[in-house]
Amino acid sequence: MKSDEDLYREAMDNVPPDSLEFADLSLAIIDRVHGIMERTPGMTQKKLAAKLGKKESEISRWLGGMHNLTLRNLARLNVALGAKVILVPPADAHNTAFIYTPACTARTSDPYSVRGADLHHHLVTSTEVIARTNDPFTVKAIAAHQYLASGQVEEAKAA
Amino acid sequence: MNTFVLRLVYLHSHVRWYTVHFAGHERTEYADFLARMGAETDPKHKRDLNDLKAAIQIIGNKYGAYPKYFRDEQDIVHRGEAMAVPSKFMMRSQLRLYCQILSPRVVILFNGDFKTKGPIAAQDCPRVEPHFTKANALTRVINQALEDGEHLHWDVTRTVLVFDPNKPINP
Repeated sequence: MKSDEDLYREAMDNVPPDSLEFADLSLAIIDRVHGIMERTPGMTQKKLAAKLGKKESEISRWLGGMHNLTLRNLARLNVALGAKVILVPPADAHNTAFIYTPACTARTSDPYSVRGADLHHHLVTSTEVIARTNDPFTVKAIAAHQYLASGQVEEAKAA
Repeated sequence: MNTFVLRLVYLHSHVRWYTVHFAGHERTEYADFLARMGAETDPKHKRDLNDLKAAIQIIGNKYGAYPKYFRDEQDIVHRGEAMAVPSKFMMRSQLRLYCQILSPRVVILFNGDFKTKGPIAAQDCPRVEPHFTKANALTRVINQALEDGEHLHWDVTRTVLVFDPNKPINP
């Protein structure tokens, strides 16, 4: 019989990449929608529901999960919130990174979000996107700058 | 309720995940959940379990344990404060792993199962009811232990639970 510790370890080691991507994307969207609402003065689920012509209970389900968030509903949500919930990179956007402005949120100080090559994979979306580059050197320089801004000297040197 | 001790399960960069080990039980609650759910052969159930494990990993390493990422499973009548993984963002999943969010940095994982499909409350589902009821009861006991502070308390940073791993927190 496997030990408890073996079960714990296997549970984390054997997660398929598509499940990780699904969880990451879902949580990012939840975070994004809540973030937009928090930064929009007076925006509540009730007001959002009224804007969309939906029942508040339905909007609650949308915000609670992406289970029924079709592209059409996503488009409606973008219009009602006045901000893009998801940004799709342009066709030539290989190695493109979108980075928060320092004024946007503290997320840029999170090494998980900005560390080196991760920048290529984490499209940290925002209407205030300022940095976009296809140049890996520039990406590293921005990462280093953000590490310095958050006092992470060693990480800045590494970047 | 049987006496139990807490065990640290995962130490992620954003969250410490603990679980409960009841006296006389071979496995911890979370290990029992993993062992039982790991034996599922239904492909949909396997995928749901993988999504749940992924959610734990991403929440633990990237986001922190904020209620918006979990499913509200509180038993208000009995003052229970249980939540569940996965969040409603995996609404189609019937899998429930009950837990208690003590802070964005600390979560205690309990046990769970696949809930019966359809508009049926957890209390009425024969598969999850025992876990739902036990989880909510555990939240009350753990909250009380934290309040008493004798067998369980926070460290100065309020991000780590302090307890003796060999002494039950509900003697």
